Amino acid sequence: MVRVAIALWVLAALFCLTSLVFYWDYFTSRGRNAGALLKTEAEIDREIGELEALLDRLDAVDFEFQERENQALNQRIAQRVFSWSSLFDRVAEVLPNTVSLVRIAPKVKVLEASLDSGPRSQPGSTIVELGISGKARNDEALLQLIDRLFEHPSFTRPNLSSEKRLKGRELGFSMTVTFLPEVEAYPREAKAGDGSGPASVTEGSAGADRSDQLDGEQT
Amino acid sequence: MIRRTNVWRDRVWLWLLPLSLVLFGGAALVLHQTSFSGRARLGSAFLESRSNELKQLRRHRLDVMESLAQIESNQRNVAEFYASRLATESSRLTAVIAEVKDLARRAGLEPKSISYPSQAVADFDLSIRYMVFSVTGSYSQLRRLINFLELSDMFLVLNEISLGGHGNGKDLRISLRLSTVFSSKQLEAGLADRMQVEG
Repeated sequence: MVRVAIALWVLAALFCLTSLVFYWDYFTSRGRNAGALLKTEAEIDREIGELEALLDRLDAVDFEFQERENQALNQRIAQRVFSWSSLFDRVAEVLPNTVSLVRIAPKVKVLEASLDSGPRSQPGSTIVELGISGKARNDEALLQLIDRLFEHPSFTRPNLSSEKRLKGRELGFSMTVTFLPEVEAYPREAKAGDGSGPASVTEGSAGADRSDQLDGEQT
Repeated sequence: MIRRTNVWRDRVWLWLLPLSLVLFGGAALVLHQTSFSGRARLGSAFLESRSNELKQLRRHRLDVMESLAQIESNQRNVAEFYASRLATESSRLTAVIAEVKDLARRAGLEPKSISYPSQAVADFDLSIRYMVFSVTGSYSQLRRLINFLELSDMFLVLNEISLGGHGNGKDLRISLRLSTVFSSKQLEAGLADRMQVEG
Protein backbone atom coordinates (compact mmCIF):
# COMPACT_ATOMS: atom_id res chain seq x y z
CA MET A 1 0.00 0.00 0.00
CA VAL A 2 2.83 2.33 0.89
CA ARG A 3 4.46 1.74 -2.47
CA VAL A 4 1.25 2.54 -4.31
CA ALA A 5 0.77 5.66 -2.24
CA ILE A 6 4.31 6.82 -2.94
CA ALA A 7 3.85 6.18 -6.64
CA LEU A 8 0.59 8.14 -6.60
CA TRP A 9 2.20 11.07 -4.78
CA VAL A 10 5.08 11.14 -7.21
CA LEU A 11 2.68 10.97 -10.16
CA ALA A 12 0.49 13.68 -8.63
CA ALA A 13 3.50 15.93 -8.04
CA LEU A 14 4.67 15.36 -11.58
CA PHE A 15 1.26 16.11 -13.13
CA CYS A 16 0.69 19.18 -10.96
CA LEU A 17 4.14 20.57 -11.62
CA THR A 18 3.85 19.99 -15.36
CA SER A 19 0.42 21.64 -15.41
CA LEU A 20 1.75 24.51 -13.36
CA VAL A 21 4.65 25.05 -15.81
CA PHE A 22 2.38 24.78 -18.85
CA TYR A 23 -0.24 27.17 -17.47
CA TRP A 24 2.42 29.57 -16.18
CA ASP A 25 3.96 29.59 -19.61
CA TYR A 26 0.57 30.04 -21.27
CA PHE A 27 -0.52 32.97 -19.11
CA THR A 28 2.83 34.76 -19.17
CA SER A 29 3.21 34.33 -22.94
CA ARG A 30 -0.39 35.45 -23.39
CA GLY A 31 0.40 38.60 -21.49
CA ARG A 32 3.56 39.10 -23.52
CA ASN A 33 1.76 38.48 -26.80
CA ALA A 34 -1.05 40.83 -25.85
CA GLY A 35 1.47 43.56 -25.06
CA ALA A 36 3.41 42.91 -28.27
CA LEU A 37 0.18 42.82 -30.26
CA LEU A 38 -0.94 46.14 -28.85
CA LYS A 39 2.44 47.66 -29.70
CA THR A 40 2.37 46.13 -33.20
CA GLU A 41 -1.17 47.39 -33.83
CA ALA A 42 -0.16 50.87 -32.72
CA GLU A 43 2.87 50.78 -35.03
CA ILE A 44 0.74 49.50 -37.91
CA ASP A 45 -1.67 52.40 -37.40
CA ARG A 46 1.24 54.85 -37.34
CA GLU A 47 2.82 53.28 -40.45
CA ILE A 48 -0.50 53.42 -42.30
CA GLY A 49 -0.87 57.09 -41.35
CA GLU A 50 2.63 57.95 -42.53
CA LEU A 51 2.24 55.86 -45.66
CA GLU A 52 -1.03 57.58 -46.57
CA ALA A 53 0.61 60.97 -46.12
CA LEU A 54 3.51 59.92 -48.35
CA LEU A 55 1.18 58.45 -50.96
CA ASP A 56 -0.79 61.71 -50.98
CA ARG A 57 2.46 63.53 -51.74
CA LEU A 58 3.25 60.98 -54.44
CA ASP A 59 -0.21 61.39 -55.96
CA ALA A 60 0.35 65.12 -56.16
CA VAL A 61 3.37 64.62 -58.44
CA ASP A 62 2.60 65.02 -62.13
CA PHE A 63 4.76 62.17 -63.40
CA GLU A 64 3.67 62.55 -66.99
CA PHE A 65 4.71 66.19 -67.08
CA GLN A 66 7.98 65.48 -65.31
CA GLU A 67 8.77 62.67 -67.71
CA ARG A 68 8.10 64.90 -70.71
CA GLU A 69 10.07 67.75 -69.16
CA ASN A 70 13.03 65.45 -68.42
CA GLN A 71 12.96 64.06 -71.94
CA ALA A 72 12.84 67.55 -73.43
CA LEU A 73 15.70 68.77 -71.24
CA ASN A 74 17.75 65.65 -71.96
CA GLN A 75 17.28 66.32 -75.66
CA ARG A 76 18.49 69.91 -75.19
CA ILE A 77 21.48 68.75 -73.18
CA ALA A 78 22.28 66.09 -75.77
CA GLN A 79 22.15 68.79 -78.47
CA ARG A 80 24.43 71.00 -76.40
CA VAL A 81 27.05 68.34 -75.72
CA PHE A 82 26.92 66.96 -79.25
CA SER A 83 30.42 67.28 -80.67
CA TRP A 84 30.51 68.75 -84.16
CA SER A 85 34.29 68.28 -84.14
CA SER A 86 33.83 64.55 -83.72
CA LEU A 87 31.15 64.54 -86.45
CA PHE A 88 33.47 66.35 -88.85
CA ASP A 89 36.26 63.87 -88.12
CA ARG A 90 33.99 60.90 -88.78
CA VAL A 91 32.47 62.42 -91.91
CA ALA A 92 35.99 63.05 -93.20
CA GLU A 93 36.67 59.33 -92.80
CA VAL A 94 33.85 58.34 -95.15
CA LEU A 95 33.79 61.18 -97.64
CA PRO A 96 35.43 60.31 -100.97
CA ASN A 97 37.56 62.99 -102.67
CA THR A 98 34.97 63.24 -105.37
CA VAL A 99 32.10 64.21 -103.09
CA SER A 100 31.52 67.56 -101.39
CA LEU A 101 28.97 68.43 -98.76
CA VAL A 102 26.92 71.60 -98.88
CA ARG A 103 24.71 71.12 -95.87
CA ILE A 104 24.77 69.15 -92.62
CA ALA A 105 21.86 69.33 -90.20
CA PRO A 106 21.97 67.00 -87.21
CA LYS A 107 18.91 66.09 -85.18
CA VAL A 108 20.11 64.81 -81.82
CA LYS A 109 17.98 62.21 -80.04
CA VAL A 110 18.32 60.46 -76.71
CA LEU A 111 17.13 56.88 -77.08
CA GLU A 112 14.29 55.79 -74.84
CA ALA A 113 14.26 52.37 -73.21
CA SER A 114 11.12 51.42 -75.11
CA LEU A 115 12.51 52.28 -78.51
CA ASP A 116 14.07 49.69 -80.71
CA SER A 117 17.56 51.03 -80.44
CA GLY A 118 19.27 48.58 -82.71
CA PRO A 119 22.34 46.46 -82.09
CA ARG A 120 24.89 49.29 -81.94
CA SER A 121 23.13 51.71 -79.60
CA GLN A 122 21.70 51.26 -76.14
CA PRO A 123 18.69 52.97 -74.50
CA GLY A 124 19.83 56.24 -72.98
CA SER A 125 22.57 56.73 -75.54
CA THR A 126 22.55 59.53 -78.08
CA ILE A 127 21.94 59.05 -81.76
CA VAL A 128 22.00 61.75 -84.39
CA GLU A 129 19.86 61.83 -87.49
CA LEU A 130 21.98 63.67 -90.02
CA GLY A 131 20.43 65.45 -92.95
CA ILE A 132 23.10 65.78 -95.60
CA SER A 133 23.07 67.55 -98.95
CA GLY A 134 26.03 67.50 -101.27
CA LYS A 135 27.47 67.13 -104.71
CA ALA A 136 29.13 64.09 -106.24
CA ARG A 137 31.38 64.22 -109.28
CA ASN A 138 29.61 61.18 -110.77
CA ASP A 139 27.32 58.25 -109.89
CA GLU A 140 30.21 56.06 -108.73
CA ALA A 141 31.32 58.71 -106.21
CA LEU A 142 27.86 58.89 -104.68
CA LEU A 143 27.60 55.09 -104.46
CA GLN A 144 31.06 54.94 -102.91
CA LEU A 145 29.92 57.40 -100.22
CA ILE A 146 26.86 55.26 -99.46
CA ASP A 147 29.00 52.09 -99.30
CA ARG A 148 31.39 53.78 -96.88
CA LEU A 149 28.54 54.95 -94.70
CA PHE A 150 27.26 51.37 -94.55
CA GLU A 151 30.71 50.09 -93.62
CA HIS A 152 31.62 52.71 -91.02
CA PRO A 153 30.79 51.71 -87.42
CA SER A 154 29.74 55.26 -86.50
CA PHE A 155 27.06 55.45 -89.19
CA THR A 156 24.00 53.39 -89.81
CA ARG A 157 20.94 53.39 -92.07
CA PRO A 158 22.11 55.72 -94.84
CA ASN A 159 19.04 56.68 -96.81
CA LEU A 160 19.44 58.43 -100.14
CA SER A 161 16.33 60.54 -100.48
CA SER A 162 16.98 62.27 -103.81
CA GLU A 163 19.53 62.92 -106.51
CA LYS A 164 19.55 65.34 -109.39
CA ARG A 165 21.80 65.58 -112.43
CA LEU A 166 23.66 68.91 -112.49
CA LYS A 167 26.34 69.77 -115.07
CA GLY A 168 27.76 66.87 -117.08
CA ARG A 169 28.03 63.81 -114.86
CA GLU A 170 27.85 65.81 -111.63
CA LEU A 171 25.05 64.89 -109.22
CA GLY A 172 23.38 66.85 -106.47
CA PHE A 173 21.98 64.65 -103.72
CA SER A 174 20.36 64.71 -100.34
CA MET A 175 20.28 61.88 -97.83
CA THR A 176 19.78 61.07 -94.21
CA VAL A 177 22.03 58.87 -92.13
CA THR A 178 22.10 57.95 -88.46
CA PHE A 179 25.30 58.96 -86.72
CA LEU A 180 26.26 57.11 -83.52
CA PRO A 181 28.59 59.50 -81.67
CA GLU A 182 29.29 57.03 -78.88
CA VAL A 183 30.59 54.32 -81.23
CA GLU A 184 34.33 54.25 -81.72
CA ALA A 185 35.63 55.26 -85.12
CA TYR A 186 37.80 53.04 -87.31
CA PRO A 187 40.94 51.82 -85.60
CA ARG A 188 43.92 53.79 -86.92
CA GLU A 189 45.51 50.67 -88.52
CA ALA A 190 42.40 50.00 -90.56
CA LYS A 191 42.61 53.40 -92.16
CA ALA A 192 46.28 53.18 -93.05
CA GLY A 193 46.12 50.77 -95.98
CA ASP A 194 43.05 52.30 -97.58
CA GLY A 195 44.26 53.56 -100.92
CA SER A 196 41.22 55.60 -101.74
CA GLY A 197 41.78 57.56 -98.52
CA PRO A 198 39.12 59.63 -96.84
CA ALA A 199 38.89 63.22 -97.82
CA SER A 200 38.67 66.35 -95.77
CA VAL A 201 35.18 67.72 -95.49
CA THR A 202 36.27 70.81 -97.35
CA GLU A 203 37.87 69.02 -100.23
CA GLY A 204 35.65 69.50 -103.17
CA SER A 205 33.60 72.07 -101.38
CA ALA A 206 34.93 74.87 -103.49
CA GLY A 207 32.54 75.80 -106.20
CA ALA A 208 29.57 74.31 -104.38
CA ASP A 209 26.59 76.55 -104.10
CA ARG A 210 25.18 77.56 -100.78
CA SER A 211 22.27 75.40 -99.86
CA ASP A 212 19.01 77.25 -99.58
CA GLN A 213 17.74 74.71 -97.06
CA LEU A 214 18.40 76.83 -93.99
CA ASP A 215 15.09 76.00 -92.43
CA GLY A 216 16.44 72.69 -91.17
CA GLU A 217 14.44 70.26 -89.14
CA GLN A 218 16.13 70.85 -85.82
CA THR A 219 14.14 72.87 -83.34
CA MET B 1 -7.26 -9.95 3.57
CA ILE B 2 -9.67 -8.18 5.90
CA ARG B 3 -6.73 -6.47 7.50
CA ARG B 4 -5.36 -5.22 4.21
CA THR B 5 -8.74 -3.76 3.22
CA ASN B 6 -8.93 -2.01 6.53
CA VAL B 7 -5.55 -0.40 5.96
CA TRP B 8 -6.75 1.18 2.67
CA ARG B 9 -9.92 2.29 4.37
CA ASP B 10 -8.20 3.64 7.45
CA ARG B 11 -5.66 5.63 5.54
CA VAL B 12 -7.80 7.01 2.76
CA TRP B 13 -5.94 10.34 2.68
CA LEU B 14 -2.79 8.52 1.85
CA TRP B 15 -4.00 7.40 -1.57
CA LEU B 16 -7.17 9.34 -2.29
CA LEU B 17 -5.55 12.74 -2.12
CA PRO B 18 -2.68 11.94 -4.53
CA LEU B 19 -5.10 10.10 -6.78
CA SER B 20 -7.28 13.19 -6.90
CA LEU B 21 -4.28 15.31 -7.62
CA VAL B 22 -3.23 12.96 -10.42
CA LEU B 23 -6.70 13.12 -11.93
CA PHE B 24 -6.81 16.90 -11.56
CA GLY B 25 -3.33 17.32 -13.01
CA GLY B 26 -4.15 14.97 -15.87
CA ALA B 27 -7.36 16.83 -16.63
CA ALA B 28 -5.52 20.14 -16.52
CA LEU B 29 -2.91 18.83 -18.92
CA VAL B 30 -5.53 17.48 -21.30
CA LEU B 31 -7.37 20.81 -21.16
CA HIS B 32 -4.14 22.68 -21.82
CA GLN B 33 -3.25 20.51 -24.77
CA THR B 34 -6.70 20.59 -26.33
CA SER B 35 -7.66 24.20 -25.78
CA PHE B 36 -5.11 26.55 -24.26
CA SER B 37 -2.13 25.44 -26.26
CA GLY B 38 -4.14 25.86 -29.50
CA ARG B 39 -5.20 29.31 -28.41
CA ALA B 40 -1.61 30.24 -27.61
CA ARG B 41 -0.49 29.00 -31.03
CA LEU B 42 -3.23 31.01 -32.70
CA GLY B 43 -2.26 34.09 -30.70
CA SER B 44 1.41 33.70 -31.66
CA ALA B 45 0.51 33.13 -35.29
CA PHE B 46 -1.71 36.22 -35.30
CA LEU B 47 1.05 38.28 -33.71
CA GLU B 48 3.50 36.98 -36.26
CA SER B 49 1.19 37.79 -39.17
CA ARG B 50 0.65 41.33 -37.84
CA SER B 51 4.41 41.70 -37.39
CA ASN B 52 4.93 40.62 -40.99
CA GLU B 53 2.28 43.07 -42.10
CA LEU B 54 4.11 45.78 -40.17
CA LYS B 55 7.38 44.83 -41.87
CA GLN B 56 5.71 45.02 -45.29
CA LEU B 57 4.23 48.41 -44.46
CA ARG B 58 7.67 49.66 -43.36
CA ARG B 59 9.25 48.36 -46.55
CA HIS B 60 6.52 49.98 -48.63
CA ARG B 61 6.95 53.27 -46.72
CA LEU B 62 10.71 53.19 -47.29
CA ASP B 63 10.17 52.51 -51.01
CA VAL B 64 7.75 55.42 -51.26
CA MET B 65 10.16 57.65 -49.32
CA GLU B 66 12.97 56.65 -51.68
CA SER B 67 10.80 57.42 -54.71
CA LEU B 68 9.87 60.80 -53.25
CA ALA B 69 13.51 61.55 -52.50
CA GLN B 70 14.41 60.71 -56.10
CA ILE B 71 11.59 62.88 -57.41
CA GLU B 72 12.65 65.78 -55.21
CA SER B 73 16.28 65.38 -56.20
CA ASN B 74 15.22 65.35 -59.85
CA GLN B 75 13.09 68.47 -59.34
CA ARG B 76 16.01 70.18 -57.62
CA ASN B 77 18.35 69.29 -60.48
CA VAL B 78 15.85 70.53 -63.04
CA ALA B 79 15.36 73.77 -61.09
CA GLU B 80 19.12 74.27 -60.82
CA PHE B 81 19.51 73.54 -64.52
CA TYR B 82 16.86 76.13 -65.41
CA ALA B 83 18.42 78.67 -63.07
CA SER B 84 22.02 78.14 -64.12
CA ARG B 85 21.70 77.37 -67.83
CA LEU B 86 18.34 78.55 -69.14
CA ALA B 87 17.87 81.90 -67.48
CA THR B 88 15.41 84.41 -68.92
CA GLU B 89 15.98 86.38 -72.11
CA SER B 90 16.22 89.61 -70.15
CA SER B 91 19.14 88.33 -68.14
CA ARG B 92 21.01 86.40 -70.82
CA LEU B 93 20.13 87.43 -74.39
CA THR B 94 22.66 90.24 -74.78
CA ALA B 95 25.40 88.13 -73.21
CA VAL B 96 24.66 85.27 -75.63
CA ILE B 97 24.72 87.56 -78.67
CA ALA B 98 27.96 89.17 -77.50
CA GLU B 99 29.47 85.74 -76.87
CA VAL B 100 28.60 84.46 -80.36
CA LYS B 101 30.04 87.57 -82.02
CA ASP B 102 33.15 87.40 -79.87
CA LEU B 103 33.72 83.71 -80.64
CA ALA B 104 33.26 84.33 -84.38
CA ARG B 105 35.72 87.22 -84.25
CA ARG B 106 38.26 85.14 -82.31
CA ALA B 107 37.94 82.42 -84.94
CA GLY B 108 38.65 85.02 -87.62
CA LEU B 109 35.11 85.13 -88.97
CA GLU B 110 33.00 88.24 -89.25
CA PRO B 111 29.23 87.83 -89.59
CA LYS B 112 27.88 90.60 -91.82
CA SER B 113 24.27 90.08 -90.82
CA ILE B 114 22.53 87.97 -88.21
CA SER B 115 18.85 87.13 -87.94
CA TYR B 116 17.26 86.08 -84.65
CA PRO B 117 14.06 84.09 -85.21
CA SER B 118 12.49 82.66 -82.08
CA GLN B 119 10.17 79.80 -81.34
CA ALA B 120 8.11 79.08 -78.23
CA VAL B 121 8.06 75.68 -76.55
CA ALA B 122 4.59 76.04 -75.09
CA ASP B 123 4.58 72.94 -72.93
CA PHE B 124 7.46 74.04 -70.74
CA ASP B 125 7.31 77.85 -70.94
CA LEU B 126 10.58 77.88 -72.82
CA SER B 127 11.59 79.82 -75.90
CA ILE B 128 14.27 78.95 -78.40
CA ARG B 129 16.17 81.85 -79.92
CA TYR B 130 18.02 81.11 -83.14
CA MET B 131 20.98 83.01 -84.51
CA VAL B 132 21.34 82.55 -88.24
CA PHE B 133 24.27 84.08 -90.06
CA SER B 134 26.70 83.56 -92.91
CA VAL B 135 30.41 84.12 -92.88
CA THR B 136 33.22 83.70 -95.36
CA GLY B 137 36.30 81.87 -94.19
CA SER B 138 38.45 78.78 -94.35
CA TYR B 139 37.68 75.30 -93.11
CA SER B 140 40.17 75.70 -90.26
CA GLN B 141 38.43 78.90 -89.16
CA LEU B 142 35.12 77.05 -89.17
CA ARG B 143 36.61 74.26 -87.06
CA ARG B 144 38.02 76.84 -84.68
CA LEU B 145 34.62 78.49 -84.30
CA ILE B 146 33.00 75.11 -83.69
CA ASN B 147 35.61 74.36 -81.06
CA PHE B 148 34.99 77.71 -79.35
CA LEU B 149 31.23 77.10 -79.38
CA GLU B 150 31.70 73.65 -77.85
CA LEU B 151 33.81 75.12 -75.06
CA SER B 152 31.52 78.06 -74.36
CA ASP B 153 29.79 78.29 -70.98
CA MET B 154 26.65 79.62 -72.63
CA PHE B 155 24.01 77.05 -73.52
CA LEU B 156 24.70 77.35 -77.24
CA VAL B 157 23.63 74.69 -79.70
CA LEU B 158 24.92 74.55 -83.25
CA ASN B 159 21.94 73.32 -85.21
CA GLU B 160 23.03 73.42 -88.80
CA ILE B 161 25.96 74.20 -91.05
CA SER B 162 25.75 74.87 -94.77
CA LEU B 163 28.89 75.16 -96.84
CA GLY B 164 29.29 76.74 -100.21
CA GLY B 165 32.10 77.85 -102.48
CA HIS B 166 33.19 81.45 -102.50
CA GLY B 167 34.12 83.49 -105.54
CA ASN B 168 37.84 83.40 -104.81
CA GLY B 169 37.80 79.58 -104.91
CA LYS B 170 39.82 79.38 -101.71
CA ASP B 171 37.41 80.31 -98.97
CA LEU B 172 34.06 78.81 -98.09
CA ARG B 173 30.76 80.51 -97.63
CA ILE B 174 29.58 79.14 -94.30
CA SER B 175 26.01 79.48 -93.08
CA LEU B 176 25.45 78.68 -89.44
CA ARG B 177 22.31 78.22 -87.44
CA LEU B 178 22.85 78.43 -83.69
CA SER B 179 20.28 78.39 -80.94
CA THR B 180 19.91 78.80 -77.24
CA VAL B 181 17.00 78.19 -74.88
CA PHE B 182 15.49 80.70 -72.45
CA SER B 183 13.05 80.08 -69.67
CA SER B 184 10.12 82.43 -69.17
CA LYS B 185 9.90 84.72 -66.13
CA GLN B 186 6.82 82.92 -64.91
CA LEU B 187 8.62 79.62 -65.00
CA GLU B 188 11.63 81.06 -63.25
CA ALA B 189 9.46 82.37 -60.40
CA GLY B 190 7.80 78.97 -60.05
CA LEU B 191 11.16 77.25 -59.98
CA ALA B 192 12.50 79.65 -57.38
CA ASP B 193 9.49 78.79 -55.22
CA ARG B 194 10.08 75.12 -55.81
CA MET B 195 13.73 75.40 -54.79
CA GLN B 196 12.83 77.49 -51.75
CA VAL B 197 10.25 74.97 -50.55
CA GLU B 198 12.61 72.06 -51.07
CA GLY B 199 15.61 73.85 -49.68
